[in-house]
Amino acid sequence: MPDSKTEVPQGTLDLLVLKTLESMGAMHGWGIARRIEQVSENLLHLNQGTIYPALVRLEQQGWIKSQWGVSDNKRRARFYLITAKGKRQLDTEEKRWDRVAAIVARFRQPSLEEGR
Amino acid sequence: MTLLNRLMASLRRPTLESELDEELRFHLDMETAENLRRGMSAEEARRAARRSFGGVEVTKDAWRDRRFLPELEAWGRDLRHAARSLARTPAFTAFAAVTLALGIGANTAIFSALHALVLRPLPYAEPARLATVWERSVFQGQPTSMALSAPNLLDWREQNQVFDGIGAFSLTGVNLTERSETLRLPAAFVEPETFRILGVKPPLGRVFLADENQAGHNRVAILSRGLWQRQFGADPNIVGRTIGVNGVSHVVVGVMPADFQFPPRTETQLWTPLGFDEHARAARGSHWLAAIARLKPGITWAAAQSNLDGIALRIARQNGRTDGASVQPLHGETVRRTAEMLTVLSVAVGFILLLACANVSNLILARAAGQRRELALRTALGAGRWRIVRLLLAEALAVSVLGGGLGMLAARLSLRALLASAAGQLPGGVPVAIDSAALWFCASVTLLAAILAGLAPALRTSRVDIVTALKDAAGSATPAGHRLPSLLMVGEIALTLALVIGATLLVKSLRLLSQADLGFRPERVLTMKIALPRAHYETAGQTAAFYDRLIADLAALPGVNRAGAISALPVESADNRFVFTIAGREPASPGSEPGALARIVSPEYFESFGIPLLRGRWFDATDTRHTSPVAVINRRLAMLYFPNQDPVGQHIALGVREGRDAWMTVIGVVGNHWNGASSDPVPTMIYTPLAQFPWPLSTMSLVARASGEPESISAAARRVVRQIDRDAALFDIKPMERVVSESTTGTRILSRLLALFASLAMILAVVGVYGVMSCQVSRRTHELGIRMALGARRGQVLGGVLGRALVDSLLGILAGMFCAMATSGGLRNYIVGVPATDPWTYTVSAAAILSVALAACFVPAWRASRADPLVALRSE
Repeated sequence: MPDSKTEVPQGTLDLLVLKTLESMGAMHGWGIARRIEQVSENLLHLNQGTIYPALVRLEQQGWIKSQWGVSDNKRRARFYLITAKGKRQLDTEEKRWDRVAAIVARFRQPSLEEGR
Repeated sequence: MTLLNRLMASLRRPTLESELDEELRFHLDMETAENLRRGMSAEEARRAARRSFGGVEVTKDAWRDRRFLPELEAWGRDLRHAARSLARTPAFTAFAAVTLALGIGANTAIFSALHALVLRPLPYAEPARLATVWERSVFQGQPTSMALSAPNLLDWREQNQVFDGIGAFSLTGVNLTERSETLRLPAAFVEPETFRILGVKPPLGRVFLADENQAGHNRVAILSRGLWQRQFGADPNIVGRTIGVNGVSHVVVGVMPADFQFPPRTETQLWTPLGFDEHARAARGSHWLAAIARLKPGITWAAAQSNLDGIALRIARQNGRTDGASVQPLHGETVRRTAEMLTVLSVAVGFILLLACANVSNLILARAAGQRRELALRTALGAGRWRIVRLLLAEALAVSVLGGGLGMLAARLSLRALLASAAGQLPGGVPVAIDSAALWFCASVTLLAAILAGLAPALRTSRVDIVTALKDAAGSATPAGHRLPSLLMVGEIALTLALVIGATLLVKSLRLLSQADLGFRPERVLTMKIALPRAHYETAGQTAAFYDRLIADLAALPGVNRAGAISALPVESADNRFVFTIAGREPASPGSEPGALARIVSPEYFESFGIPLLRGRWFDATDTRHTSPVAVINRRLAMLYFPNQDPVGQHIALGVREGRDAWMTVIGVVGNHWNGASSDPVPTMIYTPLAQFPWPLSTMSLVARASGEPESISAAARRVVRQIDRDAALFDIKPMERVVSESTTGTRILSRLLALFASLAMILAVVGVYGVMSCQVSRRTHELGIRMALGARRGQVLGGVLGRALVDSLLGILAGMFCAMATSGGLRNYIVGVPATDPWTYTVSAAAILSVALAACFVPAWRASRADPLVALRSE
């Protein structure tokens, strides 16, 4: 079972969090963690706790901001929002990922010469 | 940005922590609720929530590392720990802090002086673009700067494209007559242009107007603030008042700001306009002007230099006089001499700091050896190497902060002492104080000291082998590495030797200076300078008559045996070197003509001063303007230029070729005299009689030999002068013995300070070497015990221990000699008659240091050899 789950690669968590906040609007920490697990259809092995240091880092970079609000079940909770700067960062990061993915994909496709 | 964010967060730590707690609790509650909804039991739901969260404490730690400044906080913890542990060992703490305070204090004090007198920009508008301008010439094969002549100045000003103005000035002294008393003041003639270039705005009145250098408009004066306060009671209505300058009425037009000095670093108190008459405008060969200039924006120094060189060359082609120009930054020229002295002192105190750090380093090393078990335990419990290093560095930092605080106090006290002892050698009128720059410097030096003293022991101690350290008893032998203590010892000996050599060079040259054969008898001779108001004396005959009467009246005073006059006192000045021609000889090639200092004297001068007559006769009343010109030469000149003939009766003339003066008959040869600490201490001399000098002499030096205390006649001398001319100023009254001793002030101050630093270094080195040795010996107690148990005799043990110390000491001495050779060049202007690499000095200093070092080593070594083998063996 653990073998079939993928560890979150270094540096990817930031991207996932930013993407989540961009598509879902304001969310609290648990919501973000659940959302990442759901989207990855539970294939990603995420220690939910690790998103908290990540959230601090993103906030220090000015990519997200946070404020206290009230959750669906009427409890006080901290909500996170993506900032304009965060959206730009996300855009850059996504493009970079696409490029990297495309290059990796090219290497994995057997070329004609080597395909013999 | 993030750093600031984290720093701010650290301040709100409790709030942020509790917020995180709440956030994580919320998270777990949400996850548990979700799990319950999936149908888990309450207990299972909670456990699953914790599992998918991961470690709560780990998360919190990771969050804290991001949120706050963990490194800074760790430093804070370690510093608190260090402070507690230092408080437990007050003797160590006090000793180390005082040692560092010596180094930090001395450095801060010297830095304050350096900052105020050398580094700080001069107090003019945009001082970085101010330049001094000189003519460049070749004199006796050497390129030299020389003063400008008026026509060259005017041409340079008109033709250059690089300056926003060139302003000339000339230093002088003036007689100021106020309330029937005549004072002599250091003053300057300045072109009105000069003050405009400096950008100075007088708080009272104005600077000179452009046309105030023209005859008829130039009877105006500007006062320094000090003169205005001292002499005119800070009269607010001073502007427009008339004062007597050199016996001529001048109108005060302004008072300068308090911090204004011009020329910089001089105490000039009065300025009057400088203008050129027709004669000066035509005299291209008469070099007497200094000048400053302001570079145009965007012009480089090199461009300015080449522009002026081009102009000078063009002028040279037209009349064959000047060779070139010299453009230098005003700041550099102004501070050069002060910088030289303070650089020597900076190096010396730098050495002291290094020594202090080495000593404290050794103390920390010894102390850390006692903490090995504690440190090993920490390592075993998972502390990384950096944490151990940090712990030890924190201790060094705590000690040096303590030392820095004490050092700041020491700097305050010693700066005052330094300024007092260097009075006359450091420029006056510039405030020197411990200011914010000194505080920053002190803080940086404190940090540096912490690193210097703490890093090596920290790195060394942090390399612990846990198993041996835990097994061993505290404080027992470290198997590897005597290298660091040895290195400390070598370094200490080297630095101390370098300082001792520097101090010895100075002391030796001071002794040579004080033993110099003066060639005259300074005791009971009072020297005075006299300045005549020029306006009252138009001819040479008038000034000669004045001096005749003055000398006669002085000699007639009770308590005065003899009195005479000379144009410049021996020892005090070495300028006025002339080339001369000897009749009947082939003219010497340009640049190698015979040269001598020329002095104008009254006939009584030689006997008043105690200079002996060797051949011929003195000047006497028969030598007048109407008889043929005569001269007296000194023995050195006679030996050099008349080796095989009697100089008496020969003819010489000042100047060479077409510029030569009238022939003079040599009528006598007098003894040599010492002329001060210079490259030419016993110069060749040509004396000419006052009575035959063709131009009016407005200043002379007087010498009076008293029958008792020389200063007792000064009041009577003043009265004599006032009776002859109220507007004549008598000043610089001091015994000749003081003139002689003041000529070596620079060397004396520096030798005193360096001797002080060298003794300080010596004490530090003795303590340091003793400490290193004690440590090494005590670490080897067990080993030495075994040796003795195996039959080694005490002598062998002693020899073995001392042998290693000897090797280290010799290495230190070698390094110290190299260090001294590399740095003693900085002393060359202060050591006279002793080469900077004087073998005697090096040998004696090295021997002294070696014996002191070995003596310091001997005590612990001897103690080791006395140890009872049984006790030593049990010392494990």
